[in-house]
Amino acid sequence: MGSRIEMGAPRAGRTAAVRAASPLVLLAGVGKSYGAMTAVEPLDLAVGHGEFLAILGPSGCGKTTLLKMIGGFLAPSTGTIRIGGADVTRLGPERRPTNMVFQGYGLFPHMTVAQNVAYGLRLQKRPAGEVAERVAEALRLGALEGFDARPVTALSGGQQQRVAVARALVMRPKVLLLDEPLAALDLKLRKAMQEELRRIHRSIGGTFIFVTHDQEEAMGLASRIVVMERGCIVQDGTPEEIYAEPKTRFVSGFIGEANMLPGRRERGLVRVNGSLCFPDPGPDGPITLMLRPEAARVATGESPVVGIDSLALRGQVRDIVFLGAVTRYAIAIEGGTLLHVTDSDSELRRRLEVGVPVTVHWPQRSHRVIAEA
Amino acid sequence: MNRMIERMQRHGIVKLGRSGIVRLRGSGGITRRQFTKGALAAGVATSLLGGRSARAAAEVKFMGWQGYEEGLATGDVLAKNDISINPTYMNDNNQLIATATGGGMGNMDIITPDTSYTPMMAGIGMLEPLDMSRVPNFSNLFPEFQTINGTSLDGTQYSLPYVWGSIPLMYNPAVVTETPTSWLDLLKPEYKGKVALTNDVISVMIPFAMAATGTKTPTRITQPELDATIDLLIEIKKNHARTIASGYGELADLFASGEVAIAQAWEPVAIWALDKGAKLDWVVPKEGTHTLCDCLALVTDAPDVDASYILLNHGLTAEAQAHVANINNTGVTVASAVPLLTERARGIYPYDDIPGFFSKTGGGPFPLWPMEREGDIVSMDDMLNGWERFLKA
Amino acid sequence: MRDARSLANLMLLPSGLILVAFFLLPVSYFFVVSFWRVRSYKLQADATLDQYVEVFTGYWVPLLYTFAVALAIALAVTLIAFGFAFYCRFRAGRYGMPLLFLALLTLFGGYLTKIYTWKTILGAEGILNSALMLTGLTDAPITAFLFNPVAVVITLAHYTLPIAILPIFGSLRGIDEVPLDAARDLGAGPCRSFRDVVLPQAWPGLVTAFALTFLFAAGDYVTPMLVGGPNTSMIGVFIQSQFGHRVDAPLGSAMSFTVIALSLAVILGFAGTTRYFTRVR
Ligand SMILES: Nc1ncnc2c1ncn2[C@@H]1O[C@H](COP(=O)(O)OP(=O)(O)O)[C@@H](O)[C@H]1O
Ligand SMILES: [Mg+2]
Repeated sequence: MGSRIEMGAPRAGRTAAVRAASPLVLLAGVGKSYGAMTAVEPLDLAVGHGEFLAILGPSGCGKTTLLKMIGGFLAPSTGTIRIGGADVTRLGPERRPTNMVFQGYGLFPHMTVAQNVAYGLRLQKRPAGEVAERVAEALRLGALEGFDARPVTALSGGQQQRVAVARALVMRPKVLLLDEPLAALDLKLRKAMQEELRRIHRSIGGTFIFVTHDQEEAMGLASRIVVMERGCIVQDGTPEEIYAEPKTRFVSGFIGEANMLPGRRERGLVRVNGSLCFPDPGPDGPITLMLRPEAARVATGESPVVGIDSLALRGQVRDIVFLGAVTRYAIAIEGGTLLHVTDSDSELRRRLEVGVPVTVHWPQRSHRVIAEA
Repeated sequence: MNRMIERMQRHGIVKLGRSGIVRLRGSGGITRRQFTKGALAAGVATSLLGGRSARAAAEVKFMGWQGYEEGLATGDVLAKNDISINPTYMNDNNQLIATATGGGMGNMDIITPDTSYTPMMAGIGMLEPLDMSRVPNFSNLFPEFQTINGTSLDGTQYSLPYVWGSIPLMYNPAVVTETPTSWLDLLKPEYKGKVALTNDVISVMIPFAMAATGTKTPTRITQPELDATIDLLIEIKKNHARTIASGYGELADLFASGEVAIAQAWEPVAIWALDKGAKLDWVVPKEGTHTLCDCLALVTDAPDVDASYILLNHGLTAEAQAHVANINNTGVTVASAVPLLTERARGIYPYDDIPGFFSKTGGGPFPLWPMEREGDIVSMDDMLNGWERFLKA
Repeated sequence: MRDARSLANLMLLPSGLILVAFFLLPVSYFFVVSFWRVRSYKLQADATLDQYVEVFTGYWVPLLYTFAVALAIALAVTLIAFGFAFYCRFRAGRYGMPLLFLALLTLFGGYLTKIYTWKTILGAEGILNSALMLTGLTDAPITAFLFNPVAVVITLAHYTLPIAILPIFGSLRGIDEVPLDAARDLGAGPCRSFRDVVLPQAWPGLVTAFALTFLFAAGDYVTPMLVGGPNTSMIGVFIQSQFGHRVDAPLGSAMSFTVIALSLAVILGFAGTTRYFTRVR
């Protein structure tokens, strides 16, 4: 707030942007292959004004490739890219209204902080006064005041990251692209920088597209997440949607922790792990039952009390890990499969030890049955 | 200077693949025969000649032109007397002085100075006066070499003539069809760009002083005579020469590759060039030229005097002489060695009329330029100043 | 910590001693000697600048010639080496390292071998002339290829090229490719990103390559002797002759230190000029 740095587009509410008739970035059938190897399958993607979009997926799934095509560093093999309505498919990065924060930052090692940030403006031959003003502005936004004359090689990882962001933002891009911006930082710094990026996004209200393999980071930062797997978009939605309703086994496994139990559905009845059977409408075939660790409960005793709409499996405690706020129990159920359950009940923890027979139970609505393709 | 380069050149050539090749005087020539001999001298010198060094009663330390030590090892002289030879090779007569005066005396036995340097070396006390009763083979020498200038000082013999040769005007008869008669023929317009000199100071300064001034004493000249000599050399260099060869080995290559057709040279060049397919002729121009005679000498305080005398005397046998001449294409100083020469080695030098040859060249080897100016006569240093003017021009 | 440091100092001692004994002492000795004089072949202590005066009055032609040839070689070689190293680093992909290795292989074979190789290429009966005559382009051998300063430049350039490639490649290898993308992202075309990102970072390698090549060329006199023809006398010839035939160590030393000082000036000049053009603007 109060910042005069602004991105090249007006602010817009998140949901409004998604549904906007003319999205800021529009990818139509964009794909990239290297010979026989396809890095990104042809896909469509629309990004609205003011969105903070995360492209999430495991390493090698094509995130960077996709981002580099948006930035103009790679020419797509198929499809067209429009930004702000203009076809930029054939334009190089120097001619696109995007700027990028690179994986590893890509700072100019022979320049100072201020020279790094000023570089793009100098290329535009802006008057010296304007350059100085905008650089100072960007440095303030990146909390880098007083670092102007430092060589970038003398900065910490977090400071370098902020220089990279400042260097991109000073250009007032329509879209800011960030490739794994926090991957090189340690956990604590990562959390702090997430905060920082959120603050910057809030204060200038621009459109950010960032790539990460860290679901927590995606959840923490983005207003919308696109999950990629092997070059394809497998799910697109708000963080809440994706966490609660993963469309595939891959997404559910990737977003947060999850127990996966294989089973089958026949005539509306699902069978899991031999003993468990409950009705669930849907087509016949193999399914996966997905259960979040925090969704299940552990009970002791011969005949524990479980809810009427709950499901239960018997097992034995195999491992107990105290994680601070919660404790994680590894419980071997019949057949030997391990289920993970987290619980914050300290009284329960006192009662349990390795080898104790227990019952794992959960309300039916808190699991998800995912049909296997 | 040129010899240092020649030494490097030799290494270069060896690396080109003709390993085991020996070059006399570091000059870069090769004969086919030397190929096998080469292995002997180059790598195996110590192990073969000094093969018995562990047991040998005496080890003679030799410092001289590469290949010269082989003559001292012919026959059974080493075995019979339980001697081994430890050779080091020289590049320059100055190097002998530097080594001997720089702590070498007491650690060196036999060296091979030339006649012009012997008096200077004897004068500074680095040579042992020779006990001629221990060199009976001295009487084998051609009379001209027994009395040659420069081997004695104040009536005392300091060195023994061992090898000789001269600096003729050499040419490729395929190009130079008219036999040249004078050094000044190098200036003929038809040879422009086909002429070469070598970087061998003394061997250039002597003949060209004779050519430029008509002097009969080319190392006893006045400043104007020196200037005239240098002017002539500069004229050749500027307007006629293809290049200044760094040494005689390179000169042979230049003849063989057709770069050069006429040059100031040394007899073995013709043999080396022949081995590379160029048939050359040579003449002693009417003005005369430089003749050189390398000797054997004993260094002051030689550690192994007895063994050294055995080898010095052996060096003047027909067998030793012929061997050195056959492998190096140099001249023998002993008459009885002539029949033992290969036909080719025999054909190079005028053994039937050595006095006539010496009178044609100007009287045999000349002394060095005086160390200090003697009246009008320029010193060695003046001569070298002139040479630098030639190089700089 | 104190002990560790003194131990480290102790371990540096041998190399330090060697440096002093085999480099600093002799060099200082010759520096002192350059102010002495020689009378009748004997060195006499003195404090005269005569030798230096003599160097500039008597030897300025070979001095100038040497520096002109060395400068031509160093500039040409640095440029070519940069092109090659740049290609290996940024354009050749996975063939870059093998290509570089190939170039370094030419370091084998030695100095004189290369001189002779060029003589056989450029000579009257050499490969070049044979090819020209075979293809009918000429009907007599062109003698102008060999025995002139151009042949010296070619031969020395060929010899020093791998030596120059190494430091340049070293500095180029250290250049991250991401900043190059970043420069384009910020609006720089290929030329600008080359000048603003690659060149400044390659600068130390360029200067090293220039210095190595220049010093090698300025100190060499064998190559000019063998391929340079009659009118090519580098200053090294005269330095060698002062210490050899002339027994004039003062003049030889004065020549040597003049060459060293002028070389240093040229190298600093190159470093300064190139720094100016690659500075961050
Ligand atoms: N230049 C290339 N040539 C061939 N394959 C490539 C190239 N660049 C990337 N790939 C491949 O494309 C896939 C996606 O790469 P990338 O987009 O970098 O993945 P991510 O950023 O998600 O880790 C990977 O399997 C990678 O090996
Ligand atoms: Mg990536």
